[in-house]
Formats: sequence, C-alpha cells, structure tokens
Amino acid sequence: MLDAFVNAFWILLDPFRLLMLFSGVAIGIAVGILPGLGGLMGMALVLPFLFGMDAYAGVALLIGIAAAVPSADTFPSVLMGIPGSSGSQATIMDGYPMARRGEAARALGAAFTASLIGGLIGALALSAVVPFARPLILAFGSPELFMLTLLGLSIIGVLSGNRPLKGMLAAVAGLAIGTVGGAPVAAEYRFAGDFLYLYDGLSLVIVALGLFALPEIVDLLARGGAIAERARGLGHGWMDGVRDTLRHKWLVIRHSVIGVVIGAIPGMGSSIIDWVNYGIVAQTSKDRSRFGKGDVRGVIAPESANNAKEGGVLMPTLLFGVPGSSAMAMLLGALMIFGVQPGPQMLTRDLDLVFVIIWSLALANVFGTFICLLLSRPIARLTFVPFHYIAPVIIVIVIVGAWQETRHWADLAFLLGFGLLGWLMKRSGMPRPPLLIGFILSGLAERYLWMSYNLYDWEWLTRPGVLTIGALAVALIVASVRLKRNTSQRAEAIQMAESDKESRP
Amino acid sequence: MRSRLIGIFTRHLQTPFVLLVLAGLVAVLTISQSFSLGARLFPTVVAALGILLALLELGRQWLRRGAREASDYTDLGDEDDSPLFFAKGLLFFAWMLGFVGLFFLVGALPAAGLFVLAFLTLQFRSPWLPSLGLATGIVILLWGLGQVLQLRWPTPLLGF
Repeated sequence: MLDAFVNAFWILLDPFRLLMLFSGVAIGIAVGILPGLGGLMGMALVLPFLFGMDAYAGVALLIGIAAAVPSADTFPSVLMGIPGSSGSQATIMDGYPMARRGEAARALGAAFTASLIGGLIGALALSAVVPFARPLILAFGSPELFMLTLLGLSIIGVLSGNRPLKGMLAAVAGLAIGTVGGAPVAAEYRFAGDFLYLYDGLSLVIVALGLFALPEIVDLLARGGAIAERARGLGHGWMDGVRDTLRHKWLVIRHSVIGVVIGAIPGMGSSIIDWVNYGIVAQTSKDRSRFGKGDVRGVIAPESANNAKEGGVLMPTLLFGVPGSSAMAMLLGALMIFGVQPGPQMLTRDLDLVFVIIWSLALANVFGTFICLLLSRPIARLTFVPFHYIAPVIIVIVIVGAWQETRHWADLAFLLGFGLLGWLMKRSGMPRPPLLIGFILSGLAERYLWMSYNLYDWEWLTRPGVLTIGALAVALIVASVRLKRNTSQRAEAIQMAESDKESRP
Repeated sequence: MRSRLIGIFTRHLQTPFVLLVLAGLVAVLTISQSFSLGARLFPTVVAALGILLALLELGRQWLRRGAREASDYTDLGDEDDSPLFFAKGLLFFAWMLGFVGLFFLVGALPAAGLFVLAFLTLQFRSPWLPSLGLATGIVILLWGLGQVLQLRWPTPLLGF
C-alpha cells in the first residue's frame, strides 16, 4: 500500500502529467470565477480531448479542474456578492460585507488559505480511508455492488433537485438511455435500429456536453449583459487574511472534517455543505454579533469545508464506483474511456491510479491557491469581460470537441438534441445530474444485476449484505432529506434576516 | 399571441415533459420484450421502475396543479422563465445550429471564424475590431489545437 502511495507520487511528477494538472487548475479557475459555469462544465469541455492521453494525465487534468473551482468561485462571491458556483453561496454572507468595507484582499487571503488547508485535509482523509476500507469493499459480491450502485443513484436522485420523484425519474431515464447500443451481457443491439452510429451506444462526451455545457451558455447569453456590472477593488490585507485563517486553525480543521464527512454522502452537493458549515460556525461561536456584517470566520468555515469535501466525494467514487457528485460521475466516465473499471477492482488492479488521484487532489489545491493568491488582480479583472465575448469561443470548442468523438454528423445532431433536452429539463424543474449519473452507471449496474441474477436467481435480494445496504439506503435518504430541508430553511432565514437588515434605514 | 403560447408552454412544461419520459419508458419496456433474457432483464427492470415513478410524479403534479416549480439547483435564479427569455434561448440554439451547418458547408476553421464574427457583430452589435480580433484568435487557437492534438476536420461540402 505504502509502495503504491509513493509510486503514485513519482508517476505524477512526469512533466506532461504535471502540465495537465496545472492546465486543469487553470481551467478550473477560469470556469470557477464565471458565475453560471462550474466544474461540471469545465470537465465536460475537456472530455473530448482526453483520447490519446494516458489515464494518469487525463485524471490529473480532471482532478485539477474539480479541485480549483471551489477556490476560484470565491472571487465573485467576495467581490460582487454573486456566487461563483453553488458551493460559494454562504461565503457571500461575510465575504461581501468585508469587500464593501475595503477588506476584499483580507477576505480572499483568508478564503484561499482555508481552501488550501481544507483541500489538503480532504486528500489526507481520503488516503487514510483507502487502506481500512479496502478489505471490506473487496468482500462485496455482485448483489451488494448492485445495491450500492442503486443506493448512490437513489440518494443523488432524491437530493439533487427540489423534487425527489423528479430526481429519481431523471436517474432512471439516464439508466434507460444508457441501454442504447450493444448489450453488455448478450450479443444483441438494443434500440439502435439500422443506425450504425448507435451500435456503440451514446457517447458520454456528447451527453455530458449537451446536458451541461450548452444549457448554461444559452441561459447566460439569454440573461445578457456583463457578468459583473461593477466590483469592489481588492484593497490590501492579504497577509492579514492568511493570519486570520492560521489563528482560527481549529475552526479550519473542524469544518474541513465536517466537509469531508458530508461530502462522502453521494448527492449532498456543495451548496448544502456550504450552508451547513456557515450555520454551524454562526451558531457555535461565542461572539455572534458580527456574522453577516463581515466576520472572517464566516468566510473561513464554508471555504475550508468546500475544498475538503472533494476528498469526501472521492470516497464513494473510488471505493464503490458510486459517484459522490456529478463531477465525480464525469471522472468515472473518463476512467471508463481509459479502460479502467470503476469500483472495488480499482483498489486491486489500479491502486496506483487511486493514489495518483489523491496526490493530484493535494497538489491541485496547492497550485490553485498559489495561482489565486499571486494572480488575483488579473483573475478578478476577468469577471468584467462581457459573457457574449466568452460564449462564442466556448460554443466553438464544445462543437469542435463533440465532432472529435466519432467524426460522424450524428455527434453534432445528438449534441444539440441533448443540449435542448438539458435546457428544457432546467425549465421544467427536472434535475440534470441524476440523468448523467444514471447514464454513466447504466453499463456497470446492468453487469452487476446480470451477475447477481445468474449466480443467485432472485434470491440475491435476500442476502444479508443486500438487505443491510437497502436499510442503509432508506435511513440515509431520510436523514439526508431532513438535513437538506433544514439547511435550506436555515439558509433562507439567514438571507432574509440579512436583506431585512439592509433595507432598514 | 406567440408570447402567450410560449408562456403557457413554459409554465406547464413539466407535465408534457414527464409524459414524454413516460412514453419513452413504455417504448423501452415494449421493445425490450423481444430481446433475449440477457439483453432484456435490465431494460425491463429500469423501464418498469421508471413507469412507476413517472405515474407517481404525474399524480403529484395533479395534486399540486397550478403551483410553480422551482428549477434545479444548478440555476442561478428563477427569473428566467419569461416568454422573452424562452424565445431568446431558442434563438441561441438556432445560432448553434447555424454554426453546425457552416461547419459542414465551409469546413471547421472558416466556420469558426465566420460564426464568431457574425455572432458578435449581428447578435450583440459588438464593434468590428474586437470581433475580428476574437474571430482570428479562435481560428488560430483551433489550428494550433489541431496541430498539437492531431484533430481531424470534416471535408467541407463546398470544397474549400
């Protein structure tokens, strides 16, 4: 185990892989600071260009994006009071008031330092869990793995939207779309008719780009105008911010651990983690009078948790093959592109890759923080570029990227089709992440189901492991729904209290 | 009239959408019955589960008819369901379709340049100079990417 851990570090030190990690961080920062775009879209954008890369370089690129977004999304939250992504909503509560009184640099300094420490704690927690979880996970059979896949999918379906039924329906629709093409366990082509293009099934790249890249671009364009009309100057006090975080080291550690734990529950989402942590720090601090008016602890707690959660979401992803978030589903999809079978087999056959992911996470957090700190002024200026200058470039890259998939006209037809589908799903309140995750997990779930049925007939449903996971699923779903509801109510109450304060003369 | 129609469509989109998903799942269930057991098992389980969920969701919508639904969590706000917003969204999809058409007609690199230039100057009335600069930049970027990553482009129908 230790050998694999050290070996993975040397693997990642290859110049091309480091370059890919660095490129991922740069892309993550770019999509993180533009509100409306996010890690998922950043990952979808680079998917078409992964072909031909080795798995380590490709994974480093994707992890670089995923790890840098939670740091970079702090810029718009602090400077403009607009969340850069769903995971930086609570940072606004105290970050923006700090910027309004000329302490933006201090808020950003504190946020980036907290993000760095949080990210490293997340990576540490993940690497600590792997050796302990390995024997347990390797004892699982196909029925248990099938139930785990269903468990992850149900939790994501229930939690990712506003309506659990719609989320579950989207997940099942994703599973159904994933059955198009050659059946994994029989020599038969399904739902493809005479259309040769569909014999290989629909491509992850096309589905992901269509569902997540195009709808975001269209909505941002339709909304019109510059992303930021105006923003505060950065001011001074970078080192004060760094010192603030170091002074509150126990706060950083506590919230990083909370971020890891909640992040490990599939589908909890960064906005819940963000608000839970803000709620905890605001409730448990002795002096609460300054929260909402620019208390640096209100920046440190959610930011450390937000970066630490990446270590948490990677736990179910790497250990069980159940994606902890939609971005992690994209990572699983990418692993399949590289011919790596996600799930427990990774812990035996591809242990090096697991540790490369962990090292990438740690290094990406370091790179991301230093880039954000050193290049903060030019990065902050990017938020003033009107989106209609950025959009055509992204559209061209998306379409060219999709074309590279199989170089068939149907690539682009399906891209636009899934784009329209994703956009209509947004309009009709149907969450898109469960559909993508269902699509990605479809092949894996089908194999597990077939093996379970073949080995045990329907008696696999009565195995103790299956029943335990089923009971766990119900308990986890109930608890998560409650936590989500309470967090949303608390977040609304906090925001309403703030707007009341502001409207008072 | 047109905006009224769009308004009705967006407000009540959720029910036709679920009906569409339901129809798709019924088709999956029906078609998959002609497959062998190995190819049939998973689609049958998935479609049956999906049909049950779709019916439950339709029932929920019927009980809560008239109430507006919030969109999914990735959205920035709920102000985006006006008829004008919907029409604008479709317009941008039409721009993308136009780019795809150009892509096959004149080839990837000229299409990218022409699309960026036309999009900025016609749709957003951007000044010529920055638009031309960006269009040239994207052509150079694509050319560079093509060289480095060995990208292949479609053979243009107009034979450039």
